[in-house]
Amino acid sequence: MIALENVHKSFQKQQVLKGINLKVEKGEVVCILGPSGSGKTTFLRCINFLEKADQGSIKIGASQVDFSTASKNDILKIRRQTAMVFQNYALFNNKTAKENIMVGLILAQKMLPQKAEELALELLQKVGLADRADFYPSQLSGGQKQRVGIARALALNPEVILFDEPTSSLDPELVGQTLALIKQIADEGGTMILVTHEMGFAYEIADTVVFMEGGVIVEQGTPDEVFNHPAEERTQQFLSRFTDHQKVGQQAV
Amino acid sequence: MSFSLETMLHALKVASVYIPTTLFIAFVSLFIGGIFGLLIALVRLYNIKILSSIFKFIITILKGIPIVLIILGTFLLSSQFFNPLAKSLGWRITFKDVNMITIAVLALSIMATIQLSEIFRGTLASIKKGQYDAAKSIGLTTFQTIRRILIPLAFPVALPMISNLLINLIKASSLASMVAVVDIFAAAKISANQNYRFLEAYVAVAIIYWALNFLIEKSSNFLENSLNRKLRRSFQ
Repeated sequence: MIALENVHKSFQKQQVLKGINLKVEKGEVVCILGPSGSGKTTFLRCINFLEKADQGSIKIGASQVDFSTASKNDILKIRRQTAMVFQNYALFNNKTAKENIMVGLILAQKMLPQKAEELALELLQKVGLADRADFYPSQLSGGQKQRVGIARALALNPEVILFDEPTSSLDPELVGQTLALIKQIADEGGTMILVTHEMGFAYEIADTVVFMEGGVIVEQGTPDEVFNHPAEERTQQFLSRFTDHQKVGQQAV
Repeated sequence: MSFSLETMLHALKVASVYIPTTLFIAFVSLFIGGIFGLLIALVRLYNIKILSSIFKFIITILKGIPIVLIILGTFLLSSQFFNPLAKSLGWRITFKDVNMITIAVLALSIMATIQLSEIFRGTLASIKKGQYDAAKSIGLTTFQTIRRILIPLAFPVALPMISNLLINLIKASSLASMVAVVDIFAAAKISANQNYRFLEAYVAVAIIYWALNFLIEKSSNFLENSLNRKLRRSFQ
């Protein structure tokens, strides 16, 4: 289980997160929706300590860490229990698809290179890129890069996978196959937090939908509650553009 | 003024004996400069408090000083302070026992450190933020990130500039003759002093430096190309 409490974060004088609380059970899929600048991505980056939150605490499994007093070891411990899939893929440019997956296994998890390679090939098979193992990121398409990114996250066997708008940089055709892969991981019991603008997909895949704006959680509930019976006016307004979400959802997957 | 090919060849022969001295000074300085330059670049990249601004200040000062002055300054300072220092440390050597090559290496290392710290700082800064994020997100320590991700990405980009610096160091090492080091340049001058045929000696020196630098340029290109095939792809 992952529990975040009272997360605050400011950049210079601008307060981006104003006290976020979120609990994610094992196997739960949480989708975070909201307009640009609402702090969704910052919140996700705080979970992985890519940004250091100013205040609040995070609990993953047995480790409880306070953001304001986190030591280097605490940060490493949290990072090694989480994995992130980035909007712009963030693959290591000088490493092949296979090596991109192996590097974390060998260096962070101290796995033997041979075993890491086996696991990497297995995961590439799973994401449908077995024949691209020795290709460099520059030789892969956007969708392929993102699938390598997902395989890299999966390889670490994290408590939670954080997806930061995983399909925003992809063309519509590639969005489908990437979403299908994410859905497969969710169906297999993966715990995940997704920041996405794919409303239809969120409706279909999420156990919990969180609507954020202005650095706070405006509304939170099951997809049916948030999409079909939103309590807050702002949520209604934001979602009104996606009223035919079910149709969109069918197209996406 | 006549040009004697024979004298030139003689000077060439005498001076080439000292090629190892010149190469030693240049390569050792490059190596030392590489270590300190990288450290300084990393301190500035990670913006470590106080140290970062101290280095920035020192580099700004030293960057503007001609290498001749650095060599002479190193010589003067060490001639002043070496003996008292050696005495206080209980060493039994005095400044007279110090090989002047050490002074030349020290001075050129300062030059190499300054240049390399700027080269590495530039190349490290050109690495995209996503690469850092990715390294952090998979749980690498800062040291692992530097060693396994940043340096392999930065090195191929820095290579042409490093080879350029090596050529500059070889040329600058000719100034070491000012502190009585016998290198290629000094040896040719000494041989010319015997017959006052300076033109031949200078031509011989020019040929040797040119040949050395040509070889360095070529091997650097070769290394670059072989790295290109694999690593440069990353910056497409």
